[in-house]
Amino acid sequence: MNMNKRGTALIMALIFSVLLLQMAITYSGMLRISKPQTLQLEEAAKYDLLAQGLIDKAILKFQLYPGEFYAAWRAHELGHPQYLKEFAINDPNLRMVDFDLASSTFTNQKISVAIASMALLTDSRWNQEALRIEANVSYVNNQTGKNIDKTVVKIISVKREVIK
Amino acid sequence: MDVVFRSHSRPITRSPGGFSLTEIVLALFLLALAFLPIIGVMGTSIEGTQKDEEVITAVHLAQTLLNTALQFPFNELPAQAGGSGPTWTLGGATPFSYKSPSGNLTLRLGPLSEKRLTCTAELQITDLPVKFRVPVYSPPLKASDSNDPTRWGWADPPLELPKSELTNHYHRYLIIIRWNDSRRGPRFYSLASFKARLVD
Repeated sequence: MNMNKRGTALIMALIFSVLLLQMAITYSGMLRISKPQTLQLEEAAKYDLLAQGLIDKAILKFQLYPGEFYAAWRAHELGHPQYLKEFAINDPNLRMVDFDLASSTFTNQKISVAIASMALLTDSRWNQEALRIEANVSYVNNQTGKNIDKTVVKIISVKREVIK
Repeated sequence: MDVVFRSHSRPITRSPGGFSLTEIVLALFLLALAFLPIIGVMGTSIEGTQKDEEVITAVHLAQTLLNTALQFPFNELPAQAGGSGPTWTLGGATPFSYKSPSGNLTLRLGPLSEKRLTCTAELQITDLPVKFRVPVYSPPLKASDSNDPTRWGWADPPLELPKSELTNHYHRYLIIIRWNDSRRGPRFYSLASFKARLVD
């Protein structure tokens, strides 16, 4: 037997083994990436529904106390934003802190939601206005441990009527 | 080339190329060893994919059911659940199906089968009494000096209104999907949202 060719099969097998191991490692890495994507989908569904629910509450406040909102908005236009801030941002009833009821056996996150702004988009001359409500969501990502901040916005059409 | 002679026979030639049986057996053994972690990873990946599929199906189902429930007019579903508040439970182990009067919207809860997931869906609607902190002003003062908001007689601090909490104006919707995993045991996924009694 030619001594130069002895052991060729073993070397080839070793090369293939290394390649196969490399494939296994790459595949395992891909799996690690795909998992957080599933959880991101789940998180997005969770925080969006919570924010929409709090925005609904802000709309309820606006419908119950429209005069106060319009006065605060007018004050804001005249350079005194503190009243609008009191109406929309500083109200503790328009805030959810560490909400954890939306949980599961695989994630248990505490999500905080707060109304960040309420603004009229159109001029009163149009008689038909739009109300823009913005909610800020914050939570800690379970996988990465990072703080995540998201913004959810809803715009509704409102009609101002003067009751005589 | 080696030539071997046997008595009363033709010479047999042995090629220097090719592999010995020992080499082939060793090579196959090494390849088999290399396949072991791959098979292990594939097993884990199949399990992970199944788990992900379960999660995605549960999330999708919860989202669909919750969005459907939120489409019904305020208080229509609690009225169907019967009994009095503050929490109404629909579905769970009991089948629940409700169709809107227009017939366009149907909510099915209880034991359900979605793709390969066999689960139960339960909706809990809870009345949350509400109160707001409102910066109240004086309309006559505003009318008398409309360009200076500081003179509009704002209540300081803002008032807590209404004086007694407002009930049946704000509901929490909690949907819970429960299923049983043969390996990991009972699993659940819940989603929450809120709905206010709004005037169109």
